[in-house]
Amino acid sequence: MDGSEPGDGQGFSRRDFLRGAATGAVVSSLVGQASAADPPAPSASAPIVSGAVTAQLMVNGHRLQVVVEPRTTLLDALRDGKAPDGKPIDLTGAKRVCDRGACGSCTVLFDGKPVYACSVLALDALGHAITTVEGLGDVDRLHPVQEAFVQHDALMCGFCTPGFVVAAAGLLKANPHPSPEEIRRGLGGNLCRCGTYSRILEAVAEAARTGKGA
Amino acid sequence: MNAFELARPKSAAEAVQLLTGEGRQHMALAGGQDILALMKDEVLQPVRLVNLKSLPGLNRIEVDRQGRLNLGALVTLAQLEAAEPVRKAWSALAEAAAEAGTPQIRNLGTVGGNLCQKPRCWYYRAAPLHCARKGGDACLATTGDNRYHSIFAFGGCVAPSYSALATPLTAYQAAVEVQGPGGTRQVKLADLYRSLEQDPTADTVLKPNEIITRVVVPPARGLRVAHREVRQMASHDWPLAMATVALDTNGGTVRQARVVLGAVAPIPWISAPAAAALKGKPVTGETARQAAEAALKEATPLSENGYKVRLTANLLRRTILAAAGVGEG
Repeated sequence: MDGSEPGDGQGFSRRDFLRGAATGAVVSSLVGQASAADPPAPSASAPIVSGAVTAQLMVNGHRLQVVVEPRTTLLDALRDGKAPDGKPIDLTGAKRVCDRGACGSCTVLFDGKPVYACSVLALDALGHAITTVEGLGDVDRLHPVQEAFVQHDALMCGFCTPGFVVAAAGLLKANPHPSPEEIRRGLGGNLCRCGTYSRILEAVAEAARTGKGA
Repeated sequence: MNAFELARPKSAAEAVQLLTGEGRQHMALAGGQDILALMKDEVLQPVRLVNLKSLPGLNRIEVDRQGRLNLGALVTLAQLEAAEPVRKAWSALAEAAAEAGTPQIRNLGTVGGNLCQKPRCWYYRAAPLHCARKGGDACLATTGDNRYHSIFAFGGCVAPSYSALATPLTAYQAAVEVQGPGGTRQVKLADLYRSLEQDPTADTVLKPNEIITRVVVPPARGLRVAHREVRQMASHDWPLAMATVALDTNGGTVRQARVVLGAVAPIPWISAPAAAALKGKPVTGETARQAAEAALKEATPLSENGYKVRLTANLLRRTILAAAGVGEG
């Protein structure tokens, strides 16, 4: 999967627009600054890291080179980070909403466990296996949780969906046969402003029933 | 977030060295679930974070030969909630860990970080506001919106203590092991926190270059302990009140009680009047109610949080009954 958002196929996406309008300018100036005035240090695992370095992250089973600073969160590295050659990482499945560990939209699996990517430094992800929603399944081969979300129409605006899907996949990995209460608790770190909770709970229960959740 | 440098020490002693600096310019990073948000909001602006996650051996849960529970400071809340020895012998601690934050937060948030989280007050956490806790003249919550704040108020700052673990750990009479420039020292949970009145510069007795490396919890054999919380939302909400009650009973009579309340005072609130009210008596609906009333008699609620007095009294009564295994706990 190329990491693009649903709707990219139409030739226009909100993200492209935003990137052109504002986001891109900020990101490129940041990286540009780092490579001109403050060349990346050789190692992201130096005893003290300051300024930009190239970190090797393990994302969705692939080694990923990304230029980060100590303050770069894992979420920002995935969404807005660039490889040393300037190529965008562009894994935009994890969403940046509250950016304070309060909403769950940025949920990724960290060694198989759900965490908020906005609340982890990218440099703290070195040596850990990261799975984003892009790594769970794709359009041709949906993850059972994704399949169940489709079957149960478990989304409205869809912005919280990647976070819910990843949190649910993490839950079923740890507990393949959760009780309804355990599903509620397991998804207690994700918010849906549209209020699709009942269908989300049905979908996850269904994914668990089919026994393919993990 | 402002730029900072990230240091990766190989030992606790090296971490202390790297933390040593002027004021609080250097700060420790563990799970990051509190400090990163505070840095994004520019409430805290350290120039160096010392990443404790590289320290070896601090992510273990062990029961030692004396039967004490040893928790490394980097043990996550998820580890704590799932650990069999903790669930069996220190169940109130496992239950409190399971209620904290969300699954995502519990997967990264650590024991040490939970104990050292910063005050949860909207005035403190709004960077432009210069409240008493940040060196300003006045506590803005005292005269402002204080609906979630302390009902056992000290002067100075009324932000309540929200650490999910501090309340049960205080009741279990645990201590933290602290590494500092002069070596290690032990600090009892009951002595760890400082209200603004007690110390205007810090909310714990830890110096800027000291770190918690371990929590040691004495054996709880023979104690009957319960932990209960009330919150508005079922998940991802800080409690309006929490209570841990530990009873040492003999033939149905309370020999000794420890009653600790959380989220109602700037520090974990040890209620001596409630403990005294239970001593020498059997736990019944009536004695539990009397003890809860004794505890709340000391309350001095603020303008918007009078409701917390009745709520905490009811919570405490139910927690006492639950600890004793009586009736509606």
